[in-house]
Amino acid sequence: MSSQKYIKAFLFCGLVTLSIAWFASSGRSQTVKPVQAKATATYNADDYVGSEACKDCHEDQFKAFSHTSHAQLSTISSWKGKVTGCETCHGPGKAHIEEADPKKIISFKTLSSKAASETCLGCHAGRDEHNNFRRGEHWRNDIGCTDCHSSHSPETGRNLANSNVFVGRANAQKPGFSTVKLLKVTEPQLCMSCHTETKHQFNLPFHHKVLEGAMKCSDCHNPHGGFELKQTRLAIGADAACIKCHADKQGPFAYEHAPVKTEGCSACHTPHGSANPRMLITSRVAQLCLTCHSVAHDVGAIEPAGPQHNLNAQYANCTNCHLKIHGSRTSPVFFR
Amino acid sequence: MKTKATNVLRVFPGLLALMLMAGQATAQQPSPSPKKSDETKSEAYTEAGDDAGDYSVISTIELGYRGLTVGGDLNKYQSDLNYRVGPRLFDSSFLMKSKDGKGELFDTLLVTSTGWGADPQGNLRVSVENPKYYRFDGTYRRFKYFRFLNSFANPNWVFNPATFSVPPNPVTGAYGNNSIMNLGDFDLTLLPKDERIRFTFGYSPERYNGNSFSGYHAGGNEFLFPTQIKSRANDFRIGADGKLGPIDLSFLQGFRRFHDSGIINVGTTPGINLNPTAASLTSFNRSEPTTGKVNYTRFSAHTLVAKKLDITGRLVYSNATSSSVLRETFAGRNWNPRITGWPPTPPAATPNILNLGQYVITSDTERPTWLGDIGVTLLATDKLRISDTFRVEDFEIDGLAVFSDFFSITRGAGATLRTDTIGFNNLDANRITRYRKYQNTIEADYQFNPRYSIHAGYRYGSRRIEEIFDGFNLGTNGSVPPPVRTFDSVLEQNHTHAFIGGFKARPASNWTIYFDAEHGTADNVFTRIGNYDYTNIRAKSRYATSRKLSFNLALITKDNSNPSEIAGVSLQDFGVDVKSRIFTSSVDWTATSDVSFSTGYNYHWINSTAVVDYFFNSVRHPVGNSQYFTRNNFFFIDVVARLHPRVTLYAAYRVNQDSGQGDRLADPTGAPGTLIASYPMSFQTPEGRLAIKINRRLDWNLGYQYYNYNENQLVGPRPQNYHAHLPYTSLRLYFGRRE
Repeated sequence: MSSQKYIKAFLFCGLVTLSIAWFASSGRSQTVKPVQAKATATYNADDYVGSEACKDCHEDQFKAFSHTSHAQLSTISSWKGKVTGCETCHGPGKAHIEEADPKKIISFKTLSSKAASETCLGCHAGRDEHNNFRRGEHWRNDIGCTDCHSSHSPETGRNLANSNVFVGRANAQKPGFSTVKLLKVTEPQLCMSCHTETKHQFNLPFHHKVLEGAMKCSDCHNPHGGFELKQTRLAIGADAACIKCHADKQGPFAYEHAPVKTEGCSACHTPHGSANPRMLITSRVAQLCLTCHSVAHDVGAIEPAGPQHNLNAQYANCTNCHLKIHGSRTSPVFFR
Repeated sequence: MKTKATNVLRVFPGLLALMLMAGQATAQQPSPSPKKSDETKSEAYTEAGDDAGDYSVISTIELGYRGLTVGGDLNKYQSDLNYRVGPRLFDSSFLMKSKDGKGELFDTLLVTSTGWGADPQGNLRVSVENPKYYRFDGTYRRFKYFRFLNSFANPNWVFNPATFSVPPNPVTGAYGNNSIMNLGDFDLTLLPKDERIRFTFGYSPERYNGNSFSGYHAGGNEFLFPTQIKSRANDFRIGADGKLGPIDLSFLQGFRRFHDSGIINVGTTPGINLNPTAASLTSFNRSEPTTGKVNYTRFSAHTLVAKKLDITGRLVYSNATSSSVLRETFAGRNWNPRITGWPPTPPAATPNILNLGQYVITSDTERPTWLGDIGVTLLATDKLRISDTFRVEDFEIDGLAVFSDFFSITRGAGATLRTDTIGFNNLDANRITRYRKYQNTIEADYQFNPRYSIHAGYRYGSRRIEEIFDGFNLGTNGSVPPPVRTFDSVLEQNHTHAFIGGFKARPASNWTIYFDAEHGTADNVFTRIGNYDYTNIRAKSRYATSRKLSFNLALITKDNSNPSEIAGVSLQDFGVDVKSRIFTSSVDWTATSDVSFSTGYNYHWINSTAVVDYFFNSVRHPVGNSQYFTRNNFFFIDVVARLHPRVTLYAAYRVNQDSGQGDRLADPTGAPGTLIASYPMSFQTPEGRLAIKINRRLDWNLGYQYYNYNENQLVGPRPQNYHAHLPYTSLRLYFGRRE
């Protein structure tokens, strides 16, 4: 069976799984009547009762919320006269209180991820960090704001014994950045709860120090979407995210190794981790280089010429001589 | 190299010191704040924090001391891990919050830190905010790099130690590195929560210092020089965000300045090849001071028209320049300057005495870059969104190097000595690279209901690269007489088409499935390892029977093959084919309130084949076969158990085991030859930790970690195996702890 057939079979199985799942759950879906956030809904000012009214029944949430920066908006001049507090997101509470009807208030538990996110984007979409959320990978895969953030729940739990080299989760006793970013769980645990394959990569002998706490996933990726592939961030100016720390590769060089700029670092490196030194995609440098430098034609990747490029002795590692492989200011063949 | 360093006994003085510190700290604790008698506490929410006037404080600081015993290859251990003996600051944090959200100086102050002391990496993050006036975010990181890998860049050691004329150097390897990088990011935002305008100021310093070995292929030999690394960079940013009518605007202007000043200054230095007829040096001096700057501007705008049309645009302009002057002066013996046509013969080129060799090469490069993006999303209905994203990227690298050389060589000419000199000045080489890319992605997603959604899209890309050379093509050394000016220009273009699609399904409230796929093709290649005929698939399932038990499954596949044809010419014999499969699974189970497990298994499979052109034993293999294999199994289990109301245990075991190429063997002399690479190894890292609660403010921790690394002889005949024992003890101090 060729790989194309495998792929087609896999796609077909995926479609069948979706169909089965759809029909299997159709009965359940029909019993759920979520309250949808209507972007176009309009309310009267009289419908709003203020956050204090919510406190009587939702004391825990109120207390937790009161410590967040969301709760401080009413003190900021540009927000005065606008709805703040619980009803900013949950909508007017008057009918909900008067009729004690849970369906008369917006509950995020019943919303789709996208619908819940629209509520958040009502305020946050204008920030540069969030501008592309409606086009990002998470949006596309129906991951919403409330899948990662909890707008009023504090971190809870005890500080239990944990690894001595990897950072652990933040909790009520051990606050972390998740506390101020209102994340449900600390990075990287939060990201790894879905991106499970990265745990293996960050445990390989060579890896970026994410589990150790020296870096965060969001140092390189913008989880809220972006114009770059893999939602990576830009570093300096228009440079790739890697250049932020690996500034010696930034150049500009009189002699640039063109793929560094045109194809990106991941053409040769696996950024999360590898058993291969320098986190290269192959263990032997020569074989990586030869993959391009074999069939020159017109693409500029000249072939190693002559027996001095003998693979069985000191020339086996191309970067022994071509050591400035990312770019050189003085050597067209990257010798210095 | 076999090295053993035992320092376990050094743990105990550290422990004693820590105990004294802890006792002191405990004695200085403020008394717990009185609880309000009229406050109704719910079971779900417990406010933590010690009273500090208008603020509450929650803090935990862990300080400890680690011992170390390493057996086996210490260089490899340090290259992988580099944990040292000594005191260490563990994962610690300090949070100060105003009680009523109306703090005078700040509402929230958070400091987190980990890794300082005997760790190779440390970080300190600070976030302080008064939402009304300002927010400050600061990050300071330090990385200690240690890289001495014989398998990577000491091929004499690994591949041919018995027959090559150069004995292996187990101490240094080649291109070793022992350096420190310090990075900081400090950002201040004024009026951070103001809806109308916010101002941002940022500063990011970088400092990179240390020692390394740098290679140099010159004169007919290879040399390994100890080098001092020193580079500094400062990045300043200023910007503003705000709202102008219905449009959100963001502006950032950045200025980066950098300076590299590493030097090499050595005396007598033999080459890698110790043959007395090969070149050697009696002195070598190189400096290449480099300065550069990057000025960049980012502007973005966003609006939502009639709550239906989301439009985002971004424009980035960056202009990077760098200037350097390389000065290289050296003297030695048997030097082959490799300047075509010189030295004249007879007499023979070697033996000789190199009285003076000198290069002066100035370099000036400029790289202006434009990046423009626009994204439009139409919220057609509550369920249907359609979006289009367009990008144009354009940059030009304009590099100019000007060469000046001088050589003086003395040789025997019969019974007399003869000295020849040569020099040339101001031969310029100008290389220009022009790149332009257009890319457009159109996507749609449809939400059937909160449980089901699908998405599909199409991405088109067009790229154009032009490389121009104008000047004297000197290679590394030049020729006599100097070559004439040459001009060369190459233009390449390619067009890519990619289809994407997927769905999210939640068949039950506790079961979610994600699936997405992408298939793309291209009509030309820039690099043969790029994506040109590829299919990527990702499927994930998360099933949680309850809040206490969940299962994760995922399969990620990537297939890429290219090229079969370039410009109408069949290249089937020169294909590159890469296949990758990742299967991952995990289970998280909170068995009881006192015991929880997390375990998982990951399998990573890679097959990569390429037709390559190589030389082996001076024989060319124009259609050789290069293969690379990964067969990595990763398993982990973490257990947390509360053994006693005051004692919790953490135990973990992780293992990566890669069988690599299995029993496949390379045949580099075959016809066609086969090169095979992989990295068969195993890496086990069990660890355990016992946390003993002394009182509400203090835990005593005892822990142990073991690393066991073994690599197969296929990596090299002298595996760089090591094992390391790392016992440690620590005290964790709490402020504001509630149970």
